[in-house]
Amino acid sequence: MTERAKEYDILVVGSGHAAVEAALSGARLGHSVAIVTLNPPNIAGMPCNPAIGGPGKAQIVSEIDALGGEMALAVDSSTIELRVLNASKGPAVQSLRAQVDKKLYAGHMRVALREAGVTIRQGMVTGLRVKSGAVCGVVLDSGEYVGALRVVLCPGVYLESRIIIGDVVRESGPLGEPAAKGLSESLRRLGISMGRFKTGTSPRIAADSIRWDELKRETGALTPLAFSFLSEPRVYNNDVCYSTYTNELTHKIICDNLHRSPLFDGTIEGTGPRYCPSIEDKVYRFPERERHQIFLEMEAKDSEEVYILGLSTSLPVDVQLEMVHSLPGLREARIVKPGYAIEYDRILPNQIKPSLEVVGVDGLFSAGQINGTSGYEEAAAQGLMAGINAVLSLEGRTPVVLERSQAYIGVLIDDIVGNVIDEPYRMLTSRCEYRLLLRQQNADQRLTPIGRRIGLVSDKRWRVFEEKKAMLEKGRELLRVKVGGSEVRDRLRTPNTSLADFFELLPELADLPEEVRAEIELEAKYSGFIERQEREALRLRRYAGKRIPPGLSASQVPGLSREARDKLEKYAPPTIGRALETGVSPQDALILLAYMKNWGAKGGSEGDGE
Amino acid sequence: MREDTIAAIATPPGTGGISIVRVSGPDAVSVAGKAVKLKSGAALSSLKPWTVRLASVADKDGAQIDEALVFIMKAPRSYTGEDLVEVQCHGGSLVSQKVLAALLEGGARHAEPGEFTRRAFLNERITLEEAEAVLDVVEAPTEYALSQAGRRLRGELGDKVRRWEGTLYSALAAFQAGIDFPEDVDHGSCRAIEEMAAVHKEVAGLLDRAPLGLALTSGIEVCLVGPPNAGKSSLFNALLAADRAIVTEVPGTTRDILRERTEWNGLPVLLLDTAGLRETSDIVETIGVERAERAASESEVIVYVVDSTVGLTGGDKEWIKKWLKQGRRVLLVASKIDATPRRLTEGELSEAAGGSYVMASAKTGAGLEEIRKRVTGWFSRGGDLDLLAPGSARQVDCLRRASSSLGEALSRHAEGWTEDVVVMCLEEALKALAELTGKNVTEETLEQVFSRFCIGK
Repeated sequence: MTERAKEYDILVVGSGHAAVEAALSGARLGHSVAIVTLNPPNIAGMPCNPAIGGPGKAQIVSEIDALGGEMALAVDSSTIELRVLNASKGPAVQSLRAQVDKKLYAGHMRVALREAGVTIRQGMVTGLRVKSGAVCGVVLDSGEYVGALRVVLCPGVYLESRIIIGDVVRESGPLGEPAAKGLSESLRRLGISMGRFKTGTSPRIAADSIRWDELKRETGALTPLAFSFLSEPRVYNNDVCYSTYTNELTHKIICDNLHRSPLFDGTIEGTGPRYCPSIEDKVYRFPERERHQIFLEMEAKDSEEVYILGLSTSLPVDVQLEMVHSLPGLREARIVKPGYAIEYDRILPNQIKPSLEVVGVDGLFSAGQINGTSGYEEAAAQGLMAGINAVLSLEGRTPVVLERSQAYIGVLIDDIVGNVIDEPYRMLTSRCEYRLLLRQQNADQRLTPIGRRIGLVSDKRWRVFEEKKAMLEKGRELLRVKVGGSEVRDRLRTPNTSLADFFELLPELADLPEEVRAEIELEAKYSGFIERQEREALRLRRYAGKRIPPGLSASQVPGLSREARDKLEKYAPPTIGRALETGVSPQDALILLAYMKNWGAKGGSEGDGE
Repeated sequence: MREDTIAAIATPPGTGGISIVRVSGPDAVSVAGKAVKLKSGAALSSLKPWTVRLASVADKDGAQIDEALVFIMKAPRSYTGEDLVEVQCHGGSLVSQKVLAALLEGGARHAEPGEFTRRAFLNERITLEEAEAVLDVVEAPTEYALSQAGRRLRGELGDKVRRWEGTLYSALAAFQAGIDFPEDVDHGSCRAIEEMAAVHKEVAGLLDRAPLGLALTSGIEVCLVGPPNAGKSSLFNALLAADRAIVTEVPGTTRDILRERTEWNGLPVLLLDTAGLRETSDIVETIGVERAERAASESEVIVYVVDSTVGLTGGDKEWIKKWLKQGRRVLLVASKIDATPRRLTEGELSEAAGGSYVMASAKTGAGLEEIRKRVTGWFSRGGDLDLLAPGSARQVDCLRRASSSLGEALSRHAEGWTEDVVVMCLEEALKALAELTGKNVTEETLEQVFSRFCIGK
């Protein structure tokens, strides 16, 4: 095996949602990029349900779009049904959720990768090559060495994965692929501690074995909508989603077979997510519930396979079948692929920097489930940021780290790099302190200028952004007109006036595009609350958000108490705020701040991102 | 980047000659100005920076708390580098806690441990070495100790706060489960709103009793005043059940102030005996009279003692009227009721003191228990001493913020605002309570969401 010089600027391990965004941003920013994947046809696949968005997640998708990522465009080109969730609960929590045709989605991504010039290589990465503390390439299962200046790890749930169905345990990845062997061990040898997580999915049913007339049809939104700021809003309402409920019989079948569940007999050791319990877990934990809602989602418009949302399980196949047959419309259903639980390795927290570079190995980045998250959207967001920061570090530029008050992506990354995550992390609106600031609809206003500075925002996106911005300014100006003694914007500050009430007086308002009208209306209506959150964000950002440079070692800071030194070394908090949370005293935090200030002046600091 | 305005007691807790209460931040002058007026009657904002003036500090109802020296330092030439107001009030933790409470009422936030010094350092007013020294010497025993004391929730209050917190988290979880899992959870917010309203009522009720909490922490100052030879010192000894004061037939025997700690109905009391209020040519006695007046105006309760064989004079009525007008608690005691002749009627007493009077005798012990009951009754609202109350100004501040956010959540809901706004206010209330209990709001909410609602695909 001869070790040649670098072949690629950036090498991406994996081909899921994190990998795709990482590769696209690297290539679009002008670097040579290759993806190494176990199975090229599975690029941008959806091994869980064929849906994107929902509360917290939809905001992430719009943020990826605003920064110049691809996910929202892929969704818009493959949506088969689109809904607005939380429509009546307020602008802070309103979110889109799309059911997509997973073949069209993957197709869109394959075209995007090709157009961006990303090389796709088949193979399994079994090890990393590191020279004087910096990554320089990877080794494949074929023994081949591939040199690269930066490596982004996006291996999903494949690291040393085990699939569990009843008492059957196999070393395997999802989608019929093998588990990724060796890479975990290679990371451990580099001093990185690994942990184990578990997740699961539901059985897939043959579409032609379902009696659709016994199920309730779910309808999509009837107003035109879109995820991307670049897409034309459309109505997507196809015959693709149905619902029903579990019943007494289903629950009896589960209870009678609980002893055969690997969750209950100790076979599964990994920690599963609380927000995504298996049906056996739900029945066990909520015995008073007589029924649980089940959704049947087509995986494509003409899909032969149907996903059962709400029936995630790792019970033996014969029990799964009995369970499925107890449901209305599914008495004669055929299971195409059984549900399963999957266990996999992940990097334990506090070993990843806010730039998503792995602590201790220069040039190595990680994104997605390997960082302890769950979900396509969460993975894509990290892939995008890892790709961007890999490029910035190649070019000797300061990494981009978004603040908690700037983006859901900022919340996501801040949480996973600094928190003790003991279950797969899913984004929820409750995790975000500044929900009224981080609306799905204003993601472009928040982030497109940052994407432009990075270089990912195309001229077309920039033009669309600037046009909307000008329109917003015009709209805000119109709201300053006085009607009956007070400005329109002040009169909007109650829940029962609407912008439409002023169309007669100010016909120019009615001429503005719908998205602009909606935005200026809620800016005015919620201005009091928005300002409150802005003030709070400023207050916290000043001290708590202050980043502790990853290279800073507590032992080199003179004057710190022993207790603080121990805590800083043990938890490696990324920010002063986190340090205070681990119990570092304010006095010690102050000493740390002072040291950081001098450290920054000497040029050792990474800076604060934007 | 506008900072908010913070306040805290900057001197060590306990009884000292003076206490310094500090307010710092862009709105320091206007915030402090709500509670602090110059003795000349002028607004605090008219005070020239770096000059010291006598001022009076009042609570939000206008009742005077203390007289204090005050001065303003303008940014950036102040300790913190921000606008800074220093109020030097009388020592003793009750007075300074009350001054602080008034300043927090005016819109300041209670400073976090070390926050003044942190601001001073970040505004480049002091170097790191200086900051460390200051923190070691000054901050550790004061602000920090204070906040630690604030964190130590007394058992029953702690239980109560944690119970409210539990109810509010379950309300928040009901909203949040519906928001984060709209397809799984179809919640009714009615119950959550009802529970929030019930908690709000209880928190408001507790805040009403804040004076009791302060009393429990610092003791109630009860000052015996009245004309010479009215029997104050006899009463003082009788109430303490000890021969502490020298009692003679000679008017003006007590010249300086005597202070003794005791306990009435479970409440700590600091009882003060003072010189008789009269015009006199004796210089020492004159000073004593001035001190008596001053002690009375600083105490929690004024017990005005008259000799029942002498009767109420016009002077007595003037004093009582003046203090009642200032909103002070005055108890009129007719002493020596075992003796004759009696030169006053209950009608007269009642009229002079607005119904608040007791007939007593130090000799027979008649009326003594009634005096104790009347005094503590003011603090326990009807004498129920099992009622709980928040103990320090910091706790009062947290509860006040929790109560006001909760009130806002309820009114926003009633006005028809969307759930995101109601949830935001509810979260603010829980964050304020978390300063007392140390919970992490996000984690607590998620824990509740996942354990109480069946969610997930």
